[in-house]
Amino acid sequence: MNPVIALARAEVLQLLRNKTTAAMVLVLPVVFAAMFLFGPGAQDWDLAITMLLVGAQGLSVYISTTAAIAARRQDLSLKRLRAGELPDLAILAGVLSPFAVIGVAQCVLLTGVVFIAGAPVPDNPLGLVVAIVGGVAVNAAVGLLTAAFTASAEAAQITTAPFFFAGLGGAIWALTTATPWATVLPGGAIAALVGGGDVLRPLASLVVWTAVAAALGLRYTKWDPRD
Amino acid sequence: MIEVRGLHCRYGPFEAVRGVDLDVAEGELFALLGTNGAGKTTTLEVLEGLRAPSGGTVRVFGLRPDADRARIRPRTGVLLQDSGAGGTLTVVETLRLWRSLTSRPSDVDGALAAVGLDHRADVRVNALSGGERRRLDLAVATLGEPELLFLDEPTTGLDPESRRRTWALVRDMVARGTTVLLTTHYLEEAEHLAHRLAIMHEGRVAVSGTLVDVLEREASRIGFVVPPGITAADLPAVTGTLDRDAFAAGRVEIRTRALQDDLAVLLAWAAHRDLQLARLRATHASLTEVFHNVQDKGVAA
Repeated sequence: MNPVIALARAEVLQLLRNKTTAAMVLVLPVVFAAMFLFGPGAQDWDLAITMLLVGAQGLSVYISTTAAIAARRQDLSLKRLRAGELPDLAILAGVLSPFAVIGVAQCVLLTGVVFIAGAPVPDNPLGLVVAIVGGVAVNAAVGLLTAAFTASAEAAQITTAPFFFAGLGGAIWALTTATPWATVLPGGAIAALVGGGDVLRPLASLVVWTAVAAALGLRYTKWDPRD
Repeated sequence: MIEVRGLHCRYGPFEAVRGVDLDVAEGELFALLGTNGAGKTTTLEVLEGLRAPSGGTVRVFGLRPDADRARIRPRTGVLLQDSGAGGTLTVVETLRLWRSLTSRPSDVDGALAAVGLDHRADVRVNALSGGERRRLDLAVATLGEPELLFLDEPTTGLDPESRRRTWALVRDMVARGTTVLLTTHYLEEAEHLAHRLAIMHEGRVAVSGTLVDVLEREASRIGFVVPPGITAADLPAVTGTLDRDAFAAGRVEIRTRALQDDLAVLLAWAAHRDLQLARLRATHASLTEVFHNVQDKGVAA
């Protein structure tokens, strides 16, 4: 088996065997979806889709990757893997990829539920695709960077708060004002993409966030809990 | 195979390794001894490429461990000092994962049997005992028979039976050509396994060489109970030195570098006087004595 896939598979197995993470990944989206299907029915569908995407990406990708990397460092998995043959990038890809895949799957599922609940399907779905894939990429990359400054899985509850709420705040900023500056924040970029219109500017924002966070994350990743 | 010159390694203001020289030849089993905090693990982590040295040169297969990881890793096996708490993968899942992560062809069932964990294959790693986790790590480290094996305290926490099994496994690998660098604080482990050894103390190598070389550094001992009516002045002249405190306590203790000659002198003296030397003992120095001397005196000049 390809080593990165083998590592990702082992991560998924461990994720499903941990009741807390399994519930977060499997039950949470079902609860969100149920709220929409059986709820009063939202009037502002852009707001609904934006908040679902930003919320799911924040929880299932950003907070989960930060906690997972910190936990893997603490249980010495990262150090052991680094003593093996895989290059650094492949190790991180193996640990991160399950969350990225789960994040994309949740976003697709939740968006589908909103359409079933009655939202109009957009003319140009490209913006939505970019919002899902780009949002997941930003959250995974910033998760990697945040993990470098997170000592343990428990500490992730605190260290992830600023960026998580910045994501929600950016989305609300973009939804409530017409300023193009909101696109600078990832949440604002997601809102702009969901709202339709220009794809390039929010895409550029997401690419820059992902590239900078990934580069810094790789640079500062700690492999050993003693360092 | 391994060449270390003037290795320094610091953690912030603390210098854990302060000028270590080491050479490990191909096919050799080299043991690094020392108390906790002597710098053994730090030295090993530099060789494994997990830590960059702050000074000196380090070569493994003629390559730099921190810069040439991609070329070194396929040829090495690593057992870290700490096995960690273990995750929710089972024993056999862990080994299958590592088989996928290792380019050498490897046999999972054989590795399990070699460390005596075949009956625990489907148990989750976090449910294993500390000793079992250690053995699982050893199976991972030795998967696919690496050319060079780093073992950081391989038998710490093992019961005597598992320790013997680990020794046999390591010895077999050395017999098949694997080079091994291990750390331990069990002196008998070094005595049983090592071709050569080094004793580290406070970040430096205090003594190194073959077991015989290392033991030669320390004087041998002759001891017996002081025969009735004998004073220190009655004893014959020997090249070794008499321990005055021990004599006052009723025992003759002589430290000597000429064990055979001094023993002959003493035996002739006793025969001449028709004395029985109660609890007579003549021994060369043990590794334990060398080790404790290193701790007491620090690094030899």
